[in-house]
Amino acid sequence: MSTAERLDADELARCLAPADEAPSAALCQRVMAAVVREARRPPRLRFPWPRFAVGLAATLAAVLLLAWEGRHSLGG
Amino acid sequence: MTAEEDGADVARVLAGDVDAFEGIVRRWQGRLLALALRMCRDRGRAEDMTQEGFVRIFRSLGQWRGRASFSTWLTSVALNAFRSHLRLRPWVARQLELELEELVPSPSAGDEDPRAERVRRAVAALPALYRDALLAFYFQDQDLEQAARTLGVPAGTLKARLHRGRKLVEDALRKPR
Repeated sequence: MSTAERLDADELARCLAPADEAPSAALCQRVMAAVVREARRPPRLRFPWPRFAVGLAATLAAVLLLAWEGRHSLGG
Repeated sequence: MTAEEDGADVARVLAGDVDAFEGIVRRWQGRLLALALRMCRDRGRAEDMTQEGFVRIFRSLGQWRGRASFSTWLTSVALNAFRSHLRLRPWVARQLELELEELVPSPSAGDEDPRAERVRRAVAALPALYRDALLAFYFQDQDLEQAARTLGVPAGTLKARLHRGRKLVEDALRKPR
């Protein structure tokens, strides 16, 4: 392999090192417009896990109670 | 001092002053645009990606705890936003882009070292796995642990991807132009 084709770690590091690229004049304005839109958006509704857990526990308790009562009424 | 300015702007944004985010955009837009360009080699699309990256950063600002430097954290959030953007694009469009690169000069082809430009093109054309590994590592000051955290993979996995990625770039450079 010729030296022109070889790629050592230093060269790759040089080519990929952090750098700045000149942005277009309007980029900052575009970004800020998008950010302001984002800030105005109402916060996303989260899934109500605590309420869901309480509801699930209550349903399970009711099912167990009904099953227990059913067994006793059949047995009695 | 950039770090101090960043810290002050973050505090103002978190206190409800959205306009303070403009300072962060002005200081970091060139850096994030350069990162986006290394991933897609298309200036228009890179600017769209930069915009999405900043919106993601704005949304996540409350998660920056100051444990990592702001620049590391910001690069990491932007890199993940860019990866999501590129993942959502159809494969055909990406292939077309690569073919167009052969016809259209790259954004900075005129004023750059042609060899460096070839290396960057080769990196941008790599499969996402290796491209992201190389960019995360070299754009974050070669900090293996940080780059692995950014990509959500163990350091050993990242090391293997870096090794394979370097090999693929070398292979691409060997191909006749």
